[in-house]
Amino acid sequence: MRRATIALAVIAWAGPAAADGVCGDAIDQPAAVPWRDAGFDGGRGACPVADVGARVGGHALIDTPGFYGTLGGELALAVRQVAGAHVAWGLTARAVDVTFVQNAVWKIVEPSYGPLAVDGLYGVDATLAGRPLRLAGWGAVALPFTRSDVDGSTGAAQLAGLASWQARARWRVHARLGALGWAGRAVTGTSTRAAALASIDLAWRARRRLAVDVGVDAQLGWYRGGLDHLAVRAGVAWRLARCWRLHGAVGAPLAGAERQDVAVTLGVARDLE
Amino acid sequence: MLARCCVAAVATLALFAAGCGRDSCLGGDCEATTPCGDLAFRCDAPRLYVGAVAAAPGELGLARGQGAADDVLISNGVVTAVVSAIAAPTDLAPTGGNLIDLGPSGGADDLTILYQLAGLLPDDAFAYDRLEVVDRSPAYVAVIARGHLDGRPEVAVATRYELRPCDPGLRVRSELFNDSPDRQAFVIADAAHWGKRRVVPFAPVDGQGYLTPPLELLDLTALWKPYPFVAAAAPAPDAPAYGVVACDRATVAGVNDLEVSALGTPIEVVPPGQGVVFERFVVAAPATDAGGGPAAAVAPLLAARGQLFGAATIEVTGAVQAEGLAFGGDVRRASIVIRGGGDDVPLTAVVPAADGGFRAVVPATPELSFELWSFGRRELRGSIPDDGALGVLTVPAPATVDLHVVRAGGGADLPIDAVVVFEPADDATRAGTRGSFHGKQTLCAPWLGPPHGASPACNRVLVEPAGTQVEVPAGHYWVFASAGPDATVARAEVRLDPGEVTAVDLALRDLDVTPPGWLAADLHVHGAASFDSGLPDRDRVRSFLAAGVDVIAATDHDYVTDYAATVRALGADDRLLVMGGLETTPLIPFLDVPGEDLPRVIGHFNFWPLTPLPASPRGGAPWDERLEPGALFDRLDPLIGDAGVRMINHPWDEPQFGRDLGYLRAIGFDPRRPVPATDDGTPNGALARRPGGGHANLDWDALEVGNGAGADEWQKNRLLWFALASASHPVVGTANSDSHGLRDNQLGWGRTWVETGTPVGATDVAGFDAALKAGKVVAGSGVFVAVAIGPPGAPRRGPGLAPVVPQPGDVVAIEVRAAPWIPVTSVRAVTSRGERVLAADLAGPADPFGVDGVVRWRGEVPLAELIAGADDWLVIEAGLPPPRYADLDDDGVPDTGDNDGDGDVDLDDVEPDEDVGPIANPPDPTDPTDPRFVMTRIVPESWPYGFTGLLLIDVAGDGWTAPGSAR
Repeated sequence: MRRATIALAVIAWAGPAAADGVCGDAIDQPAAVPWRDAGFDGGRGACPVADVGARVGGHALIDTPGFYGTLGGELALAVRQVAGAHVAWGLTARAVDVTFVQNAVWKIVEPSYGPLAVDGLYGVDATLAGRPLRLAGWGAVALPFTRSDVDGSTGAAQLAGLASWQARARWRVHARLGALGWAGRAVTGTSTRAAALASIDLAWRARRRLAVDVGVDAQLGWYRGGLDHLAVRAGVAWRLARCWRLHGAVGAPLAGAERQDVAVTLGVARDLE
Repeated sequence: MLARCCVAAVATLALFAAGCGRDSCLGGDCEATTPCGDLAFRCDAPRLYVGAVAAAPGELGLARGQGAADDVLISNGVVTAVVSAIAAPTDLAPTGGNLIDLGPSGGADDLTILYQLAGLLPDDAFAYDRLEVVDRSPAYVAVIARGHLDGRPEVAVATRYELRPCDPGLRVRSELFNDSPDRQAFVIADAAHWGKRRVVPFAPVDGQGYLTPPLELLDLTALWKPYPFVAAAAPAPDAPAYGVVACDRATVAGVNDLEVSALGTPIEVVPPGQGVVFERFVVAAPATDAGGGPAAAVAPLLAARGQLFGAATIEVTGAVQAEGLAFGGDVRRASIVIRGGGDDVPLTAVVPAADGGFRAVVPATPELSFELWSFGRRELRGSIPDDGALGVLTVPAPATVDLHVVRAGGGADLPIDAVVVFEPADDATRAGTRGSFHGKQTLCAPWLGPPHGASPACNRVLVEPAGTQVEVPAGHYWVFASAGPDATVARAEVRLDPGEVTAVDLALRDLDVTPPGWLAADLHVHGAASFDSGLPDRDRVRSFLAAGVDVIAATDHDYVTDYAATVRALGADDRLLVMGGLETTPLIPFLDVPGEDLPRVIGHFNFWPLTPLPASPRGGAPWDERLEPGALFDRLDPLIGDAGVRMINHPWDEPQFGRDLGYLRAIGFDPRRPVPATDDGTPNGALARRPGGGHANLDWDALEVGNGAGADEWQKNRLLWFALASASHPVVGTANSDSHGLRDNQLGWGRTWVETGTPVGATDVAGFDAALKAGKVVAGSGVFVAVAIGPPGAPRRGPGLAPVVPQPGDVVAIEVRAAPWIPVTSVRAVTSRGERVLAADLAGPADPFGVDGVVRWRGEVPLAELIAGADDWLVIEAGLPPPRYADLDDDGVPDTGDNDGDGDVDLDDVEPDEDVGPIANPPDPTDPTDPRFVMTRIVPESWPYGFTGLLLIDVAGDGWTAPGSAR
């Protein structure tokens, strides 16, 4: 009862919903729930955002028949900036990554840091059915040689086409169609993986300062055969004050070969503009 | 801004694409990856060989090696190693490509296997699929094995074994690359399966040395410790010493145990796209005039560390004498552990050479000290001077005992093979002679030698007909001699003085325990071909003779032998029938059992006869992993033939090292429930499954009811045997020793008597097996139970699986026989309806050392009193009443003994942190008046019992019908 009262108070404090245009407020952007190491597969909306932020993420993989499991958590720091009407870029550093791995009786916790990731976005405004639409091309690269805990190196990239559309005053639809590429190289070998992905999110501005988001991800190819996952996610974004916002999300695969069982993310950001 | 970012990203990617070198076997050029490249050794006559074992020069070979003709031998004339052919997996490894023999060239091999793993699960074993032989003589020779982890095809692996001229060890480099999508916790480690009773590892870290901590598999992460090097050697004069040192890092990490050592890299997270490399130097060295033991390997290990890391060393020298005479050449006489540093870390151990001298190299360490062990006791300790010269160390001189045992009576005394046991006759001698192998393994009083090695072992000696001399610490002893349960036990009291030679002559007399026409057999016997036996073949065969058995099934773990050459050499062909055989010993868990989290293995089965094929992998034994019993039987059928025997061994034995030893326990068989005709998904239903389409999983011919001389295994297994008989699966019940040495399980205790109607010299394998499979069997530990059914005064039918159709008035005639030194107080009849005591509180013979009183009980019981109305099976048992055991976990099989001795079995008897158990034989008595005293001197941890084979009573003559599940 006490929790419900608190929740109602928070929603009431969030105020009535507002319509700010498709890119008016970053809390309308879709939740990013990455599945892959270092989070380079996480999505975003087509809107340019200028902010600095910190995000903690967690993931769990429990493979009971294989006597295998991983539990991981990471803290990533990011800055995103807008350069004109069409361009935005970002820089993300995974400050710390702590992973517990159990392989039968081996149990090991390994902290590490890195990698650095850069991304760039080019977008244009349009309309669809008379409502605002933002289209963008986006690329992100997790830079090799920027991790601490391996002798070799890994690098990764995402290239995606993004669309964000204001379907209604409170409703936004975000779509992503993209490709993932990953390569790892050590003295003992080279490994590459690639995947195609598509996602769609529906974001609803429930209150003026509060938006919720549900989305579906589909990914093929990462596990080198068939559907990687059809995953759902749900997120919430909450503007704390004029410049500050919190966001959190959780995702879980419904079908496919996905090894991860659950991924969560929780972040805080401060708008720069 | 964006442009600058893109430029940076592209530049970084370009750098990434350029790679970080490909000097690895997995990544590219294996030729460029000489392991331990900074090492260099010199010698006078360098040579190199790599090729098939069959084509290798004989002088490079290894005594006791098990390399098959198609395996690859690599040698430089200093060290010889054999890498198993890919299609010839051995022991724990899922494929070939592993070291199965290693030793000084022309010397001996004590290695079972050295294989690579990345984790503990079978999935994480290196599974090789290609073997490349590289001959770059005169620079080097190499063998390269490539593959992947056994259960993770996305994790590629490779190992390069390389020898350069004069190297005292193999240079080994293993690589692993994680192409899986998951972060993995991996190591690269060499696992050496020592097998508990042969090679003893020596770890130079605080608190270890020979005293390795218990290897708890669930604590393996915490136990995985760094070592500067690790050495190992069997405590035998001709044993090679082994050792390993890392080349690409300062330490090797891992665990050491009498069962297995695993040494390699630290446990680390290996992300996708990353790998691990491990380079090490694996040495094998013979004992020299500098001494033997682990020190023989430590010296080259430290030489390598000196070259690799600049580690300084000190040489410690000295000589051991007893009464002014050189005293060395054997770990029994002298073994020295050298310690150093503030924590008194054991650094090496050396067995002085025959002249008493020794030279041992140790890492340069302050505060060096030594401890000198002799006859299992630490006799001397002291500090080592800065120059390392210890001078002469003096230990107490032992006495020498000249032992002769004869068979007396019926004419001239006949010198015979026998077992002689020394027993302290007073407390002072017991306290003053109790010893162990450097504080490890079995405590013995006196300690005459390593308990798992050659004679003398522990406190017992094999005496040959020509007599045997043995060194014994001075003291007051009883000396017992035995030639098995068909002879008396002789006893003599001696006082042995240091340095004196004392003759002890002991005379035994034959006893009529085994009736004519019956042969005594031990159908479960191990020797040096087994990974867990350190007993040389000669002593193994002498133990057959000393135990008074006629027939042996040689059943080494996963290797076919028959001791034929040794039997011939000892001139025992006419006294022994040794059948080549095999104990299949699966080690790779695979079997999913409903309700169990962990996969299982199917336990052990014996098969005979088999023909040894030394040029074939495993001596001709088929690969037995990942097979259910039925499929295993199918695989063995063509080898043992129609007349061959399949026996399930110790079906309810406890798992060891995570491996099941008994199939019925592994599947959770419930003896209180019926066995369905088809697999219904229950544990009992698994018995009916035909996994290979041929045999069902319960298609064994014999079940090992008695395993060893104690009552514990017998009491568990008899219930399983009875339950299967009640469920329409009556088979032969046997009792065997499962002996691995001279001290653990005594050969011939238990034993299986088989009525062949012929003496051993006139018996062939086929005839013996036919009689056995017909069920003409009595078995037990020292007690022979003769039984026959028929009318009073008329010909009677003895044991056999052919049903008996009783006639009105038929009786069961029983005669229980045992040597006077074996107590028998009880005779019981057992059917599916329960037990009936036929005789109790029988008095023993007046003189346990005499010849009178062999027949302990003779009687006739009307069959109708035992079997009434319906078909049933009948077994007669005799001996002492079984010890108190209880089934605390209610699975139908006893699991716990009266361990606190309070007269009942309850939770108070259970060990802390356990649900049930242990179940063990009652302790051996120390009171000479105890009825078990003499028997337990000869056969420690024994309990007298005997039982007949199943008698199937077909009451109506309409075919025997099983009485249903056991009641």
